[in-house]
Amino acid sequence: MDFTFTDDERAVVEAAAQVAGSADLWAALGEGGWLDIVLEDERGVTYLGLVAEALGAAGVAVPLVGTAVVWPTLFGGSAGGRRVGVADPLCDGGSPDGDGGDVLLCEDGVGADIVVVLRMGKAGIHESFSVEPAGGLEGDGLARLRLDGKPLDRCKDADLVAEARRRAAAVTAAEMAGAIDRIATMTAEYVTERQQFGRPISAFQAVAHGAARLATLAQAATWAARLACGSPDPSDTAAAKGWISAASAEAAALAHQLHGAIGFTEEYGLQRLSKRLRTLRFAYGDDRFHYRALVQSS
Amino acid sequence: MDLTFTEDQLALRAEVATFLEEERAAGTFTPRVDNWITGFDRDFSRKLAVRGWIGLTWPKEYGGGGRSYVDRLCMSELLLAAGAPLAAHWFGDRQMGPSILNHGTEAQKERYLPEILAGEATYCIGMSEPQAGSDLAGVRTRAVRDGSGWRITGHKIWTSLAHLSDYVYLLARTDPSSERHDGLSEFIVPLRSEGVSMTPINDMSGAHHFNEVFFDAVYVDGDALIGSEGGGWRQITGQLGYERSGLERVMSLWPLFEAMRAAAADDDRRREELGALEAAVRVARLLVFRAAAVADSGRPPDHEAAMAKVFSTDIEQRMVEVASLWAGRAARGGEALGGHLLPAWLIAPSLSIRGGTNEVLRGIIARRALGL
Repeated sequence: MDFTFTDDERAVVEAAAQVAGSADLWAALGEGGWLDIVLEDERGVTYLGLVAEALGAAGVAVPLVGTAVVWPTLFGGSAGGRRVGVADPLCDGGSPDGDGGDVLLCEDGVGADIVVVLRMGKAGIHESFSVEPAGGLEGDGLARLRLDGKPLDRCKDADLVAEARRRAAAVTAAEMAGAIDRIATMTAEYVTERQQFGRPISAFQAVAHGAARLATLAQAATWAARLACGSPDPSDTAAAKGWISAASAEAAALAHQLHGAIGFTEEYGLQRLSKRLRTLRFAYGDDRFHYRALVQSS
Repeated sequence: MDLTFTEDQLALRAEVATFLEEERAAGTFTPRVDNWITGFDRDFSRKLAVRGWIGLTWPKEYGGGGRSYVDRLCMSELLLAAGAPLAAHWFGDRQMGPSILNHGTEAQKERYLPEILAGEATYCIGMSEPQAGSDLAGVRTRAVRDGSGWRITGHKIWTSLAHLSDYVYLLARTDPSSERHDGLSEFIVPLRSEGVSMTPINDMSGAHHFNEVFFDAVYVDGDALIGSEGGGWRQITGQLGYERSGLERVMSLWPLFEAMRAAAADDDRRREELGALEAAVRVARLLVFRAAAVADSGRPPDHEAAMAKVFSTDIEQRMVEVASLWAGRAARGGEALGGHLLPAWLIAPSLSIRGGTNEVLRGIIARRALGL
């Protein structure tokens, strides 16, 4: 066990921060090689997790998981910069073996160039489909997906399908950890700056302890996600995505409470992060889904 | 960064697992919740000593294993999960030995370490006093010079296992004109010394592991002072990091969790609740391992340890609550969930108090991690 960054990891973190701040995020991810990193480096998922942390901290939404995780894991090749949507009916307790005509919920379906449908032990690619937005928050690419015809191609390797699911949840957890870490930092800064009753509100123990709880949630989420991205054991991912999903709700609520009215406004950055966390909590399996998966696996 | 176990660590765990299987098969211990602090079994501790599992992190030149704090957790996790009795060596191994290694003289190391390593010397911790609980700097116990030695007068409380231990590791004021954090020093006091007396305090389960310990001009030789005279506070804050960042803060109720696992069977709601607990425990473990990694980097963990302990004990208390609702009316009896539920409930309030209350620890996180 080693909790320190290697030089390579430090370089990834620095590069990821730049990518997350760039105007054309999708182009920057492609140019940086991050969309194919899983293919090119055996530690690619760990690196991608660090990239996802940076994206989460920035509160930006891109179809990273479908394009950079699910596609290369299933097919061993690059998605070529296409935006990949992912439907996994298993996550919603739906029938995983339904026919092509079903209406499925699809992550990053809005704006997708191509979609992957994960089934029990297999997966299919569809180029011909229609989508309508199903998410109510800005940046949420969730779509109702109608497939048109049979899959263009399939992956019938059940292990690869399971691994694609695992990695998708792990990298999503990393993005959430990045967002939680950011709101913890924002909140600690805010309670130090904000003055009431003639002193910074951090002087009040209830407020300081709330900030301490947030910092703890952020640390816990960060390490849980990093373990999930770096460990082949699916139970590490189930624990991370399950716990982080639940913790994201607590963290966002606590951050809003400590910020008071300003955090509730459109102009202030907190709402973007709390919305992103709300979206990701229910992507690639929510708390309950992963809790059940964890018990199943142990 | 690699948060999985190394081959070496897996090998150590396999060795510990085999040992535990054999001991369980031989019936040498009964798994109990909180047995690391209540299960006082010198024979069991000696068995660990023979295998080199006491002092695993201590330097080899002093008879230790020369391994990392993370390695120690790899081992102790399995001992804790098994509900094995660890109290006879736990404090010496976790806290006193490392403190002597860090602050003691060569003579003190030669005198005190071998008997801890052998599982022969047992220590209790003499910090809290009636007026110095969370506010430890309020310590009033005094040590005054007497020839080449010291005379100690005062009163300690909540001293776990003092009635079974050989030594108390004690915080006392050596500078009578000092206040608060200054002028405190640490001593090793043999509990069989003349002038030491104690009275038991039963906890709410009726069990006796707490004591009130009185020191009436107890004489100790000059060698009893560990570290620098007046520098005790700095020494102790380092030790508290080790005290707070062990897996005993998250695994102490594991026999209860195992019973819950069995009781969940095919009940979907229970399986979900069980999964929530297990996920949280796994995350807590990581915080604990991270604190150990900080210790391995050469700095006692402070806010990392505080985070690990608050987070962990919250989960343990939630575990008791979930288990209680599963058991329903049976929760009132001694048989529920393998007989582990009632004992777990009876110690649950102490989990977020002992070793530093959650309120104190949240203050440490706010100050040290966030600078608030």
